[in-house]
Amino acid sequence: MAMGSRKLLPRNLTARAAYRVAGNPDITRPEDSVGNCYPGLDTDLRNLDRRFFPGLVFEFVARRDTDAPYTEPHRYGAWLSYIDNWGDPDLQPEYVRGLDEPDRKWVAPLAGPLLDALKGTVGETLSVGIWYIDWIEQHGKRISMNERLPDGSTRPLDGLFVWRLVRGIERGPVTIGLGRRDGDGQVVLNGWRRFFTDPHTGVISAAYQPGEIMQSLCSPWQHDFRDCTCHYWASNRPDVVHGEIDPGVPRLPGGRAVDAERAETLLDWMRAERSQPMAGATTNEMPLNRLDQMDYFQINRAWQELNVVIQNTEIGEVFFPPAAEAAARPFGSVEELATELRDVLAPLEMTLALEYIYARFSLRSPEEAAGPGWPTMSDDVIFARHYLMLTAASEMQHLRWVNEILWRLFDAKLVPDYRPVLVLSPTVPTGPGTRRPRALRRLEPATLDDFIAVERPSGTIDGAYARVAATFASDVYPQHLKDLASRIANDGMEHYSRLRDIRRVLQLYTGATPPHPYLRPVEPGTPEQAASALARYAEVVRNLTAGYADMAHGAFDAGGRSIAAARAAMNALLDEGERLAAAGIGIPFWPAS
Amino acid sequence: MIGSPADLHRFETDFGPHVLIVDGSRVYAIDPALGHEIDGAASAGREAVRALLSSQGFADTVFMRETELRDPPLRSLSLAVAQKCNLGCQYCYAQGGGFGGPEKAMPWAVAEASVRRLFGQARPGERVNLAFLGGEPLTNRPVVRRATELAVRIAAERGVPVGFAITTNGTLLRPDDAEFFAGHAFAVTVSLDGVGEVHDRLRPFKSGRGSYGTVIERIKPLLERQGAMQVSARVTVTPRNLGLRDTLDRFVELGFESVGFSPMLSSPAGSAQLDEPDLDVLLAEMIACGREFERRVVAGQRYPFANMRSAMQEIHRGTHRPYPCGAGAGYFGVSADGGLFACHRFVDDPAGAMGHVETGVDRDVQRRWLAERAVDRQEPCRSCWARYLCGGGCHHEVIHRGRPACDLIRGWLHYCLQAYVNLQERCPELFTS
Repeated sequence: MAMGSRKLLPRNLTARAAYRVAGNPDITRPEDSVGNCYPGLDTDLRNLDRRFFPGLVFEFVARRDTDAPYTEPHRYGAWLSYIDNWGDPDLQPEYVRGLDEPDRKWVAPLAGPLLDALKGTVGETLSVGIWYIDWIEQHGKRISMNERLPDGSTRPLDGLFVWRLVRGIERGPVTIGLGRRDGDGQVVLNGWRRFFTDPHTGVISAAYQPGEIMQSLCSPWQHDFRDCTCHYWASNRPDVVHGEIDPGVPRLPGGRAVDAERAETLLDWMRAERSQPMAGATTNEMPLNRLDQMDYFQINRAWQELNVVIQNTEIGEVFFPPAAEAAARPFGSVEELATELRDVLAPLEMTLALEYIYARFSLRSPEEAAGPGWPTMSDDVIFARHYLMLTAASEMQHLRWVNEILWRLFDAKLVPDYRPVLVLSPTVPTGPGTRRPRALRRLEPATLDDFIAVERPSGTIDGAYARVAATFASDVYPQHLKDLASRIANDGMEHYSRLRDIRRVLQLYTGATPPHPYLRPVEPGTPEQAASALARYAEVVRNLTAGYADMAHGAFDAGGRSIAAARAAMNALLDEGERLAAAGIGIPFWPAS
Repeated sequence: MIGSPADLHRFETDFGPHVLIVDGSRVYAIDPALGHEIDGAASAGREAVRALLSSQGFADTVFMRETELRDPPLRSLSLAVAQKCNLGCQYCYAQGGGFGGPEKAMPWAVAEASVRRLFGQARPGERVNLAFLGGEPLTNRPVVRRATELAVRIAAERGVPVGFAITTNGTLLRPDDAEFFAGHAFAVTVSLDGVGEVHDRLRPFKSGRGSYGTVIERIKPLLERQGAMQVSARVTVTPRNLGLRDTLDRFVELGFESVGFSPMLSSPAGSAQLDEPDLDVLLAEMIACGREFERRVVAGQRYPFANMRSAMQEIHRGTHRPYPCGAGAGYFGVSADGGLFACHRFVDDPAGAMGHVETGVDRDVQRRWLAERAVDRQEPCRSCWARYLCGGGCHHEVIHRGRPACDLIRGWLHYCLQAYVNLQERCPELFTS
């Protein structure tokens, strides 16, 4: 309950602590709201600045985004929307009289003339034409609302920048200069930065109309679901998805269509055209996609047409969960398991890692790819190089994990000994039952197809590791061996996905002349040409061999140091490889057969 | 003032009518109309007053929620390092130093146990206090020194800061005491009952000779060394030294950091106690000193009248307490044998026995003590407007003599409230929150 209407002056500290001020409850104060400037959930504080100058109401006109081009400079800035002299309570004499000293002392000489000016000829002048703020002056410092370009010309500042400068105005007298943009005219007004809240009660100035402070808030489930510039709300929905797959259409485990074309096509989840056959693939630029998206009205009315998405695939009215995978068959004995790991899987991981790395060197660098002709090639090679490198690194990690499984089996005395496995495999699977020779090749489409084939789920690799994981389900084995094996198996799906994404991106260049413009003309070099790189490679192998052996025998410090040295050598190898590839030389990790 | 209701107290000032809201010791300036309403409600009874306070919003915040303490932590000990003294003051609660028993000095083992008990459960950052009393503590200087040094060591180890205090008759002070006390930032209190003969009549050596000259001579080095160490003069007021203003002025001149008056209300043999007519004189003298304080402070001068300073600080803070002090709560007096007592006055007094330094505070006894002695349980305190500022009066005095000085307290506080308003208006910088 507020204190009575009697005049009471609390004298001492406990009296002051207990003193309740009459006024709005706490939650109506700006400082207590979830208010910010972008635009906010409770109050949009930018709306305070529209009326920063008593008697005037501005709109801040800005580009769509701060990196959008300056296409309409004549519109940008703080535009005078209207003059509010009668309605603005802060201009009226009663308000000024009611201020405390010392505010009253300096506001009074400004308020009277300002009100007269706005009611008189200045107001009339400003009512005709299009007026913007040209400059703001406070404490003798004037800031122009126009920026100077390198060529010496000026153009108006983007409204967002003007707003930011207005937000920085301090409490106190302010002078503004207004200029007419559709004609000649200059007006100077002396005023002050409005007191946004009452100093005693904290109540927001009565100049703000009901609803005005909240008129531009986030609208999470309508417009901002579509268009939040900071992506806060839009992060709750997918941008691109795979299209719905009809029942009966063959699918992969994980739900994607077997048909590569259909499986790889990504659709804009908010596309306006909802019928399947007409849905075009999404572009990879938001502004281009917007043209085909549901607009604000449509989304409010037709939101129920947006599809539910499971595993990045739209589903229709009926959802068929993917078939449960058949349980993998464990190996007959730990010897059989160890043999498979040692002789088949570890060498395969190492060989694939090198094939991927070699292919990665064959992709042009972003600098090499830049230039006219293929506007997106620079971005595309960044994408492909990055994801190919991730996949190669993942294979190297698998190589480590396989070795780790083997040395832990040795540690648990389930196998008689452990020697580091860092050898190559002469062949690589291309599908169940088929193999191809290992090969160091550029990332041409055929190569990429081979990479995808080896990583295909339920193909060879993950099937093999699934058997390993199934074997480790028994309590005989340390628990985390099962985890390691499962991780390797699950990674396969990700490699498959990534490689297919790379393929989709590079499809753009099908039929180009000359072909494969994104590739360097790399051929395997001679050992002499690639001597330094091969030395690095040998260093990697040597250090990993020593490191794994140490780890197997419990010498973790020494092992850690060796592995760190291997990592350093790996980085040096990557730099060397780039240098050589730019000169057309591929590292001959193994002799050409 | 007569018939003032229990929940508020009206007072007039040069700056208009005011009210003290007893809950929270809140002070407000009010308009005359509300003043009249309050007076009207007061004559109608406690319920009417409560209704009025509620309607004005004063009851929206309740300050005094817990009127009793329970199991408070031990934070402060005074060691009766010497139950003996070289002076023979008539009114002494220690009855010449021995507390009615044979003279003794506190052995080191007891002092050590006391210091360790003091730091017992204190956590880093919490502050503790160690005081040396008696009798005359400087008759057992070695224990004082040693206990201090031990406390300093433990304080550093545990991260628990310790403050030191000593109350002394001043006759045995040596120059190296100044060094020692200054080095450990002691709060030194010297008992001085007046100037020259006034003091000598009340505080003679056991031989009968006056001690004033000796004391003044020996405290000089300490007065000069004040800084972190502060030296206060404590004047025990009896019917024979009621000329407070002269004493105060002289002692301020001498350079004491503060000068305070303690009415003698309960002495063991009843001698030198203040009775009713004396209390009226005392009140008038205290107020006269207070007015001088106001004058000097408004003029920007120093006038360290301790009672007034305390009162201004407490009123400004709105101090409200259910007890007069920490006796038996966080503060205990330790006898030379190691007994824990409610305070230094209760040493060897069964009425205040609360345990032993070896075994700690007897929680059952303490709980009873705290429950019984809370001010809202006392008569006539529970219906007195001054109760949360006063706290009920010194436990030792109340138990042994009763409450003869309630009018004095109320009179003094009434004056202090008025003075507070005056000083807040005239030199607000005195009260930085």
